[in-house]
Amino acid sequence: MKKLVALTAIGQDRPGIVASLTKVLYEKGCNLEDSSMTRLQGDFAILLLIALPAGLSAKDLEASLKAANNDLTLLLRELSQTEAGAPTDESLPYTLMVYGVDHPGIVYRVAQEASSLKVNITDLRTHVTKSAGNDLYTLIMEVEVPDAPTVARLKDVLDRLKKELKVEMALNQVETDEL
Amino acid sequence: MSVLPVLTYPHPSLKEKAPEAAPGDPRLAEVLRDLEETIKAHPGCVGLAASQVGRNLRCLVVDVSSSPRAIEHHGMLRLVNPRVLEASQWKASREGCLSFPDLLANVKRAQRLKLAALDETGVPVEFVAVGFEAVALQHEIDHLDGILFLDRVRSSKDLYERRKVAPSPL
Repeated sequence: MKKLVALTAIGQDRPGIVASLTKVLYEKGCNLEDSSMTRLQGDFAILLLIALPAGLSAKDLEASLKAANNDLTLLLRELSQTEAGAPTDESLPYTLMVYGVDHPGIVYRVAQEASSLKVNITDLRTHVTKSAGNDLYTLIMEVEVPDAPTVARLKDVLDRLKKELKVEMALNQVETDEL
Repeated sequence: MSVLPVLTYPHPSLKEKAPEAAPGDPRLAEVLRDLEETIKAHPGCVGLAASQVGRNLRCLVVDVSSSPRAIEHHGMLRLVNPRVLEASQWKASREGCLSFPDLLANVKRAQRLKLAALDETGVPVEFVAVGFEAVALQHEIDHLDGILFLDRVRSSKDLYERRKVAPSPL
């Protein structure tokens, strides 16, 4: 059985963060199983799933990573065998775009309603840009909807929420191009 | 002729569906001329719909001739009551919009479009647009239906802040 650890790290952005972090992983014989890294304003954020080689403990790896990257706030957690591996359920993938004039609570209200319908958020990004002298807030998330009846209920909920939050919403099924 | 201010979101006109224009509507000629002046005043802009300048009329102008992305085109198109008859060859490409000055998005559009419309003199026309011209026409026709390019984004990786990437306004 593969031993997997989840790593999160964030620190002030500069050239070389990815190089110094992955150098340690490479030298320790780790494999990068999944990753997402991005810059959030002036900070660089890292999410990684790492497969550990036999004989390396999560604790040892964490100590080595911290020693080599002391400007990053770094957290490691070993995954249980039940957590490891991609989900294989039959849910329906959708993209939800929400945009409007910025105000507190947009992400919270949308996420809360999604959660109450057991709609799972698998990716979420937000942008704040200027438009007509306002802060324009765009929230785009990818979600998994359990089944077709829930899609219909989600649409009703979003119609109501659109008015409550004074935003625009577009729910689109994710299309897959088979080439 | 005058250059009109381009409305930006959240102006409510941008979410309205523009009504069909009567062929003899005296406002048409002026609105089309003003739209043309307005896109010329915005370097890189290849199209504008009447809804973007607060004129509630179903008309638009598109001119992709100055864009390096345009391979085939019809030069300056002034269209009234445009209707898509056929759409095919779907492909995603990056779009901007003067109504969302800071955002860019990858949007899937037909690369071949058969259209029916009236020209600026009220004469019915039918033609085929391809490539970037087809993309621009779909973007502007969407405006006339109150549909904005953000409504067509299909993945969280398909939305960008303009200051972080290269510009390409529609």
